[in-house]
Amino acid sequence: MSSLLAFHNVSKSYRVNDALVPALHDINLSVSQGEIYGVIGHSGAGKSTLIRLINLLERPTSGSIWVDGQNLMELNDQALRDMRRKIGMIFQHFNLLSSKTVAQNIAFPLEIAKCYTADEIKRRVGALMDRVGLGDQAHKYPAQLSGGQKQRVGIARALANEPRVLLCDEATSALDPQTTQSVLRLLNEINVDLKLTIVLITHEMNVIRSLCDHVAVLDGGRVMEEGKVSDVFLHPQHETSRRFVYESEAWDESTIAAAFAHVKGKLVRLTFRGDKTYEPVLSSAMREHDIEFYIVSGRIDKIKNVPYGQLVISLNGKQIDEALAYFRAREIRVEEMR
Amino acid sequence: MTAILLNIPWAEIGEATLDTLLMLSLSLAATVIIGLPLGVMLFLTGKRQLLEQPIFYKVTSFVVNLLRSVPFIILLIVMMPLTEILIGTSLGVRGSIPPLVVGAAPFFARLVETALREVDRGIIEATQSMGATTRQIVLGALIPEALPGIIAGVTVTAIALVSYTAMSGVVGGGGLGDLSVRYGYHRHQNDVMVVTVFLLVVLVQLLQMFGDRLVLKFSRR
Repeated sequence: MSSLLAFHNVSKSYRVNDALVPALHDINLSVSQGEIYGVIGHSGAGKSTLIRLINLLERPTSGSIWVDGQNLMELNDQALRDMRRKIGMIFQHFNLLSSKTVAQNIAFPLEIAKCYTADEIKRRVGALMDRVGLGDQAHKYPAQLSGGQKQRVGIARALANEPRVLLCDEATSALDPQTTQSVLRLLNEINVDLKLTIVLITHEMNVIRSLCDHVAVLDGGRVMEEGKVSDVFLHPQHETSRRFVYESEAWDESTIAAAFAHVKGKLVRLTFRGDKTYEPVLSSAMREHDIEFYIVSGRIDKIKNVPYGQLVISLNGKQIDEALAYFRAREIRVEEMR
Repeated sequence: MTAILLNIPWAEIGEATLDTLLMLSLSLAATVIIGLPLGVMLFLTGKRQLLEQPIFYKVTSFVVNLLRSVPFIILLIVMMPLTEILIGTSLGVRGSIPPLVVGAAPFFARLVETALREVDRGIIEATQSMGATTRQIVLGALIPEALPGIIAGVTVTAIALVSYTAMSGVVGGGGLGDLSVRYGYHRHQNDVMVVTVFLLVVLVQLLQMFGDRLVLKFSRR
């Protein structure tokens, strides 16, 4: 896969009362064509600045940003506008024009582009509304729509000029959980059907887990950790990443250690991935070795479409080390906790 | 009753009403034509806006404040030589238009600037992200979004202009204000004064009602 979007040593500072306040430090990122790339961070981490650099709503203080083989820093005004048409964007608060109907909102970027006839615009708007499931809302005004519907209009509008990449600025943060899921499903559909690259920022690990292929963890304006979602999610290396994972799981090592202080035996965390999740590895280990186990805590779920399981078990018996070797031989990650 | 009404110079009142309406509509049109772009420029060149120009903004803003702080009656007199140069006379309906516009346009420009500031920044950001030029942002997004506020501004300005036209009567502008001063004040004909004031009140009420309806029609929030 080729890189569609890249940050090279990008830094950004804001000038506030003659003082430079740094927002992003030396960011290096690369997003491949067709993937969904997530940036997670708490508020103030710089993620909102980061996503605005991609279409130069904000200009970097130093470094370069490449989209589709072009260095954005070298574009003149007209070339930048042309480039922006190829970068769709949706927003936390939708930013729809309240004075325009749904159809007019979706037609707006096409009118701005000035390269479509009225008939073409009408046809495209119709197709886009069907695509996002708003076929019958053409003549409503944004004020008459629910949050989820507004974001669907936002998505249709962002797709109007057939962009190469879609930027999502906390696109689901203002929505209730159910609506969030339906909007995430729609984004996933769009990614699959149109092979459209998506870059999103969020503070919710759930969004990353259900949608993204790659993730960057941002804290204090720096990328703390970057990698495949399954790696970062299951084995977070950095403190910030760990906090995000634990927040979404509602437990962490210290609470487990405290809660199971009275549990006898060896505490081990096993991580299964992919099809291994559904194999009876534990029971076969028990048959072949002299061990007993019980599950202390655990979770079996999916990251995007890949199943995984993470279990904390207590092992008792004479052949614990053999059992651990047995797990490792089956590509199960073993972490000895106590 | 009939005797009182007979005393009133109805023909003159009719003529004065027409003059007032003429002064109002001409000066309002010119005020909007000058004040709207001026307000847009004030907005765009303001702090952290699309065409931020601190010096231009400060100078324009100062001139606007200056013109707004001069009492209209003074402006009328100060403007007389300039008006004569501009349209050949400082008298009558035509002569009253320049001071009315100079008095009202800066006021209206400020109202436009305020209405534009009320538009969510996100709207500008979204439109920018579509690859719009500043012109497309202003005409396609900012003005349509601020339209209810701008119309409310036109209404307020129109009503201010009604009272300005009444004052311009003092320096020979004609209209209902002039009539009320000449008959009501100089000749102590209170009945004429009452009728002219009544007509002005009706005019203001109608303007406000019409303006409110338009605002409602264009509000989609």
